[in-house]
Amino acid sequence: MKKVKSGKNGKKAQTAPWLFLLPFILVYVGTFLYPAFFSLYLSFFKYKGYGEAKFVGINNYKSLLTYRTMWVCLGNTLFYFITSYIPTMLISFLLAVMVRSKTLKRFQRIYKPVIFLPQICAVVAASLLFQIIFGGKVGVINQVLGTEIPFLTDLRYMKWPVSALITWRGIGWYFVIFLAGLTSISEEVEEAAMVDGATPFQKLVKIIIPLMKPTFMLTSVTYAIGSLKLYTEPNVLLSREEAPLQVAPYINIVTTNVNGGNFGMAAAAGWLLVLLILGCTLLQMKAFGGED
Amino acid sequence: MKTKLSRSGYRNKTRLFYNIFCHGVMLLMAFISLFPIYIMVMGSFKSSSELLLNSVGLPESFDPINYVKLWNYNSGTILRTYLNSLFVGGVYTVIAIVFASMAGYAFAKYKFRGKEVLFVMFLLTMMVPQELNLTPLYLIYSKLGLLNTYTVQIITGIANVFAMFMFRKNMETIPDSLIESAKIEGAGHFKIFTKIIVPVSKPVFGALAILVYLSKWNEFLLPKMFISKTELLPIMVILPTLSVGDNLYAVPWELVLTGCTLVIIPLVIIFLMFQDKFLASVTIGAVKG
Repeated sequence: MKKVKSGKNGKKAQTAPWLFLLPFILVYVGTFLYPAFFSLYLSFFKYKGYGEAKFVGINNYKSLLTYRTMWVCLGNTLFYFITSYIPTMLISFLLAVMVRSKTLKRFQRIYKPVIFLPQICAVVAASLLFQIIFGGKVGVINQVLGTEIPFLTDLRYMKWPVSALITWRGIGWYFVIFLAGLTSISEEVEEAAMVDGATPFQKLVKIIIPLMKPTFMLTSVTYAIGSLKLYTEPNVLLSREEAPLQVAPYINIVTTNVNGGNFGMAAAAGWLLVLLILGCTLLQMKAFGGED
Repeated sequence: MKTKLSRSGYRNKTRLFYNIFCHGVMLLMAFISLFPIYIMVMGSFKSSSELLLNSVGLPESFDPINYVKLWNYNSGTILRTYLNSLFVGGVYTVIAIVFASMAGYAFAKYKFRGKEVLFVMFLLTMMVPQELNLTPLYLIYSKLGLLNTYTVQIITGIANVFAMFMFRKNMETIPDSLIESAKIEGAGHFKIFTKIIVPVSKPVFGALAILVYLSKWNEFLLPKMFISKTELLPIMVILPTLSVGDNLYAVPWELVLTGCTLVIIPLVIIFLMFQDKFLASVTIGAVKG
């Protein structure tokens, strides 16, 4: 088969695709692939940004895994993931099911954009907005309740506003995704279920949820990966500079090490993140895999 | 007969209850969505002392004094950084989309040696986050003297594998006969791309451009790390640093709310005008097609 292609025209057809690919590959290699390998190399060195880099083997990884800091930040990230993932998924899925019901179908054109709206709000601006909503004295919640709960300064409460913010912004996104997923379940399947006398609740549990499995699977993977990369929300919402360690997300390990001139350690933290993401993906593929 | 009637009556009652419940939940959600935005817009018309006493209610007057103050803040920083955001986002989006669409087209419609290997390699690296490259890029950029430039804000992350993947998936559905007939008419490779492929794929271009632009618009960590000169920063890095005079920790909440309004409201208006395009961009990568 390949022989046919190697004529004169075949050669010409070989250069054209590479010309189309060239700009993409150049920027890809320059700003992604090369830095990624450089980062891997760097992660085995102690380097201050000037002078000589000292080879330290896997010591950077060892220190990361043995120091408490990394585990605290990873734990925080896990907290933000779980406390925003569960409400986001539950609420957005139920909203999507409800909006599709006969009662609300007519109002879809109003509810859909309104529920999606928070997603359009820039992350930084939304974080600042939540500072005012959860703030001490100026805080909207405290003013309404007539209290002075230190949501943003007391370590017992601080993480919850972050989860609230992520959930607030996230619901609209997943709502639209679930809505599209539900629409792809054919009407016939639903009608057949109705004819067989299934109650709406049975229909939800026995038919819709199993059919939505691919969508659930896809969203859970992307959500977990997105959570690991969390940075803006906790840092802008909880501080003027960088969030205190007790509430800092994982990425803060990278930024504090870069700012402190520990480039080898920062690079190792970056690669540890890659491994974590890989682990998440494999775990979820295994958990949800099953039939296909 | 009687039992049947009462049963349908029962069903009607539950139906009614369900309807009320649905609308109640939806209205509550609409309230939760809109309430922070209401707080923000109203707050932008309040003075700092008014905000301290009444951050929930309506403002005493709709005097745009905060907008004037923000305009003059730090001799025009807000306008400058706002324009920076628009400029960097615009240029970044155009280049990213052009490069990704060309590469996606090559994968979709050409056969060449190493195609599958190359594509799988791209897919595998999709899992590798941009955050990994913050450290090495910081070193590389500082060695090249590129920190504090528009260039690094534009080129970092410009090879968008996700967009390329979506372009490929979509362009594969364009019938080959369309390309063949153009070839017969003597159109070159590049002409076929610009005159046939691009117009046919317009919806994908639109959806991906929105996604790419919004992600750039939201960017915070990258410019914070690579840029220290105020006049080059995007507005998102400036907003959290607004302060009263030289006191870094005195936050002028009324100005923060005004800044947030300036950042959020124009986009909300654009969103409401082009809702369908925005919503289509959400599902482009999410639904198995």
